[in-house]
Amino acid sequence: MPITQSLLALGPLGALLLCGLVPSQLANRHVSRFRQLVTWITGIQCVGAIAMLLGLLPHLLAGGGGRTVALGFGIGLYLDGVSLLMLSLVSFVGCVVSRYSVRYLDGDPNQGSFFRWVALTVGAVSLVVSTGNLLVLLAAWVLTSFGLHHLLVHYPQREAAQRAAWTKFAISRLGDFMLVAAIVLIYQQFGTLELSAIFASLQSGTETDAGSMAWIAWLVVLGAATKSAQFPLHSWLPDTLETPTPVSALMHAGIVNAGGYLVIRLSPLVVQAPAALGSLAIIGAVTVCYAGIVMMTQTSIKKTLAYSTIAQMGFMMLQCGLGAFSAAMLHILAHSLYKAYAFLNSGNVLAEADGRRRPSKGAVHKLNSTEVASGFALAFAAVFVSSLLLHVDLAGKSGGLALGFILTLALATWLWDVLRLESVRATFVGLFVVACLATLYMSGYSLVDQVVGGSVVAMESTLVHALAATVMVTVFSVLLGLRYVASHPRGREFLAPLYVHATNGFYLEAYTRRLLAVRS
Amino acid sequence: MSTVAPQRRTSAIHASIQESTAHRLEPAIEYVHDAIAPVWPLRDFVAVNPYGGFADRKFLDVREHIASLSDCEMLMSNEYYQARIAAGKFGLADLQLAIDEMVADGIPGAESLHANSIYQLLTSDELSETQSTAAERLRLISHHYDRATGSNWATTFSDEVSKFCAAHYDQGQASWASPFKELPLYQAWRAAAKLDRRIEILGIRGFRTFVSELPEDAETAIGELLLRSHVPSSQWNDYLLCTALSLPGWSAWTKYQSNEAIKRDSEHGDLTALLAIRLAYDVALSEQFDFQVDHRQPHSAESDNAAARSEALQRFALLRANEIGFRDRVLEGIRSGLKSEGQPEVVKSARQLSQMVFCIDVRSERMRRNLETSSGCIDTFGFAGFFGLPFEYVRLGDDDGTNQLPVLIEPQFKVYEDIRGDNEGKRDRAAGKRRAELRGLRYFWKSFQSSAVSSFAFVETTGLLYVEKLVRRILGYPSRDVRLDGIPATESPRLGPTFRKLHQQGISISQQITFAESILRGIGITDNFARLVVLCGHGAQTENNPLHAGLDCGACGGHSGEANARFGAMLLNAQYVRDGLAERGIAVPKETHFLAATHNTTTDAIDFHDVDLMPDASAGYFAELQEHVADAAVLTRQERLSLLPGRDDGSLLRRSVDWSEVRPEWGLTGNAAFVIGPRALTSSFSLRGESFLHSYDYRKDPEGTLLEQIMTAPLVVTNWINMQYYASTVDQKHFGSGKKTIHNVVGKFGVLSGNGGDLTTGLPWESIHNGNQYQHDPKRLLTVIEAPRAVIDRILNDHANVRHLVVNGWLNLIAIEDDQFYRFTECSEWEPLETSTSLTELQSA
Repeated sequence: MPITQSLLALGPLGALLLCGLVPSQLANRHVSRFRQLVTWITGIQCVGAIAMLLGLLPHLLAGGGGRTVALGFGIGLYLDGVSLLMLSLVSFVGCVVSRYSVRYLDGDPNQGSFFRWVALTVGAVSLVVSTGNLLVLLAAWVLTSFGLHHLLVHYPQREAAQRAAWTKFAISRLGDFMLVAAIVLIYQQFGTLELSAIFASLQSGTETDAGSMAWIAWLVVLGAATKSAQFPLHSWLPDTLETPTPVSALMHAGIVNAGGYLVIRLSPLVVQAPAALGSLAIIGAVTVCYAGIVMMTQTSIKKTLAYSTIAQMGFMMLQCGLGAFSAAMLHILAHSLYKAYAFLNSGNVLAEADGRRRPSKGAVHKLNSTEVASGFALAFAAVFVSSLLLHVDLAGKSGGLALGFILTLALATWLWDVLRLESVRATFVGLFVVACLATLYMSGYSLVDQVVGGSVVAMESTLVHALAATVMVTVFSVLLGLRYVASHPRGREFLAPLYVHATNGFYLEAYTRRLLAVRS
Repeated sequence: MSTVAPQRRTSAIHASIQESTAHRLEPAIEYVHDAIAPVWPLRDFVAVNPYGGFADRKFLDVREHIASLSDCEMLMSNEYYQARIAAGKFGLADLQLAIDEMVADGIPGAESLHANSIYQLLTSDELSETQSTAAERLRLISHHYDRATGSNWATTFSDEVSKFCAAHYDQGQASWASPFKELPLYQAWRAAAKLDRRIEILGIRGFRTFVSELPEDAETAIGELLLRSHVPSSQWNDYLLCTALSLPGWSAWTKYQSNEAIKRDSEHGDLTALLAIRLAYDVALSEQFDFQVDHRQPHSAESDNAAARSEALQRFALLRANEIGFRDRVLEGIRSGLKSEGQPEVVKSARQLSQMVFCIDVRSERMRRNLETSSGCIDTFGFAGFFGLPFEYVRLGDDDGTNQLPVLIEPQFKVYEDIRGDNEGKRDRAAGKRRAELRGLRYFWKSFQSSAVSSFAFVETTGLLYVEKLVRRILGYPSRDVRLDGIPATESPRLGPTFRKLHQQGISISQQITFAESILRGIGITDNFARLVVLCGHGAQTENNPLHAGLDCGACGGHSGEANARFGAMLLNAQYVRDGLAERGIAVPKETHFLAATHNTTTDAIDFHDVDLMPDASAGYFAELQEHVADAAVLTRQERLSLLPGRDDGSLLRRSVDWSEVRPEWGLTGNAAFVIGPRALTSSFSLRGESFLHSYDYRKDPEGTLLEQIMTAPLVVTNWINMQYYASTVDQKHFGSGKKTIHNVVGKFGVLSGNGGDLTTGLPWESIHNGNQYQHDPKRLLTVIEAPRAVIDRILNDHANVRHLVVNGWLNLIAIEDDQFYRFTECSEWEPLETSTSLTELQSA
């Protein structure tokens, strides 16, 4: 890779980190120029990252692996499909959030300081996803948490903001500790912290100590789980609404998925311990179930979105745990873009609700069993046919069948709804949508798979994974059941205790508060 | 504070409530109900006077009372007035006059104020606030406990109550709704709290048992809980009010629910339930930790009270001096208007191009002034923006509509939206069906998007497409306008109000004529009609703004006035109405056409509606009118650019479509005056968008019937708006809604600030403050009426609610009679008023 191209990435990245060094007072005094500056840098970095991705695309599509750009002192960038996709994403989200905050925080006496920490945070995440050295990654990882902490207490006088930020701080340090331990073990095993060297030595089949490798995998997996708000260490995330909306967008779209990135990045290492990955899958499935249920009971838009993120992160970890790293990568990208939009647009919730109307009693009917069966069959057909057409071998991919089942089930719930409408036109629209969605999924998946395929490792299915897949199918059946039971008054009555506990997030927040000795 | 021995609940308590205290309990609850003002849901968000329940008492007394029960504040700080003096907004003479007027108003203690010493204090650098500390006030048990131990229970309890209320009133945010929604609030809370373990985990053991042993109904529970709190019955009124004011937002919301229930003749105990719920947490806390408060202790020592009172008196004098500074400027302008008044207008009218009727809203003032200056042939009028048409507007395909009238009154009929055209019924059915299908599909799409089963597939299939959405919104493309769902683009201009089903609702032709007549007589256009008479409603255009309704027309219940203007114009153009009007003495010339328009207050564009119905003969006049309107729009935007910083016209327009904009427009910020009289009074000077204007000519209204309508409806509404801005500015924490940047829409009806806490009610910080300074200068409404004092006296005597506003200091009333100003004192006397020029003359003499 030509050095000019890597400068394209490094220049803005360095500039962002430098912006983070600007004293807050200075930034506040020159806020109108400073906020433009940060927005422009993120924009340039976004364009640069996409340009690099496109430049490297032919190489990646040919199945090529990562390229290292040395910067001296043994430090360098590791550029491949995974890092460039992530860098493009983070820069794009950073740019959108900066542009949004220009007006949104206009007049705030601390707007300059806000942009300072946005710059530092975005710069640090960019470094996390593009560095080729694990020590730099660790430093950037901690720096991200540091920058985010400042954003979380943007209104320092708000007690709840402080509480949430410090809870997050404690959990992050736990994650840091695991990451440090993993890095020490990696160094012991490989004698280097350069990603390219580690991956090369794994590929060449160098002798490694199985026990240490298992420890490394477990530490990485658990460290990632703390970062990505996995049950039961998620409780800080729904409590971070005391900070301006763009911070939520940045956090939910650009930071909370860093855990998933870590697992995907280090997939050649973690696949060495299938048990660890299997456990990650189970943690993910439990998180999906937990957050999915809690989400249904939340009454405010931002809390709903926060629990939705936890569930989505759970699903992403589940995919990682099943070895479906490409699918997880697609999920990170798609979820980030959606969630950034959802948060930034959360003031529109009433206007959007005006465009929806629950169909009147006369306009819908009860589904009969034929319709239930044909809905499922049509969804299955759409998934099956589109996978054939786009050459996605579901059965051959790790976790492919289980994930295909989830997609089919989701599409079927949509069709079941639409088939209830007494309208031929609506049925056609519904079927068309199903065909589009299945095609979108398969094409999105195969594109991402081809871009990152050279960087991730396929995994042998094991007993643990069979177990994980079973847990997952069970979880989704439970959620499906709940969806229908909770939509009927008598069902709701029956589930009242569960409902009350769910509104409280099953008290994880209360227990965390007590554990961390935060006085009530 | 003294701690007395814990006293466990006994069955005797139950009995004693029944017998000895019931007669005291009911009035205490009633007292709270009367004191708390309601808040409307976001969709119909209208301004409310948060002090409305206290209007029958003097301003300063209410302040003292509220301050003794809560942390609420009703006056700006000394520092604020220090800055106002430094900026030259008022001076020593105004302060002296303020004190004199306070003496004339019979405000106790006013004589002891010395203008010079206050002025010196404020202009010196050393300024010390003699704030009365919280220790001297009546507080809830949890507040006492928190102060004693450094804990945070009061906040925790607010969050708990908020959690239950949000779930109970949720209008569809949660896909899994509360199973207790059908129960009344108190019973719903009990059912849920019996299962909820959060409070126990946080440290109050046995809370679920505690809840299940509470009485079955809220009122009995309050009685029992008050006894268990050891509140002496003499303190019940205050203690319950203190409880309500610890959650001003949910109190206001439950008050709204209670009011709505009364309209439906159903259970209306929501505010009562809220009191019981909040009390329960405190009693549980007190019994858990054996912590008791002796509420009988006097709240504060007499000397402290006196100090606090004199400090409040001083700040009140500063408020009034600041108001006088403003009053002088307005009356000065009016004085010059009075000189020009009375000149023959008939000559002018003969060459009139258009008479344009605007809402009384302060934002109309700028537009009207610029229309008048940019063209010599347009006369403007001010009238309540619903044009006296009290209807509910039902959109195509909907069953329920929006109330297009002030919240003080109830709708009398429904107006149905439709596509106007040759075969109305058929089109309507087709468009309505399309709309229903589209919205039904969107409903299911939303559940595909948000259900726990399918949300993962939703994200993975469509997530990448959000790049396009993000880019579009960042570039300033607005979101979809759902009001045009299912309507082909070619037909959308014809989508609007119709006369459908009017007869079925008992709105006969003669009644329609009566509506038309009252519009014209109310505005004061009964002869000399121009070629084009424009009824111009108003609405705001904002993106991503849950508080949008607060910027729309308050007279139309927090909605755009478009439907009212269009319906009114249709009515006035109908031949049978015109015939009827002629019979009642109003001859509308054939060539006069009534035109509906909407003033977009964010962009200052004026859109005309139903232009295709205009006779060809008027087309030339219309083209001319449009030119003037475009000129006036540019002038108005230029004026506003000094308040909303931006480079050019475009920067103002962008605010209406930018999803990240927190200050799309200033709305009614700055409102401070209400002038009721002919436009000639105010047309010669700029009121800077700070004044409501209602057209009124006392010569045409000898009995005062029209004035009575104005003083009992628009005046009350403007007082609500004025007081809402006032309260949101002087006490943003309790009566404002905090920073918009952390707003979180709850249950699709309200806004929370941050993670939880109380429901917010008033205006957000960004609506009253521009980042550097307050954009809204809190002043009580200066009401200027040109009418004989005797008529005003008669109206005040007949309407106690309006009289209370004036004599208790909730607004300032000035009458103009025989070109002389008179101030209505709080002792109900008319005091001749000199404006500052004549005062200066006096002083120099």
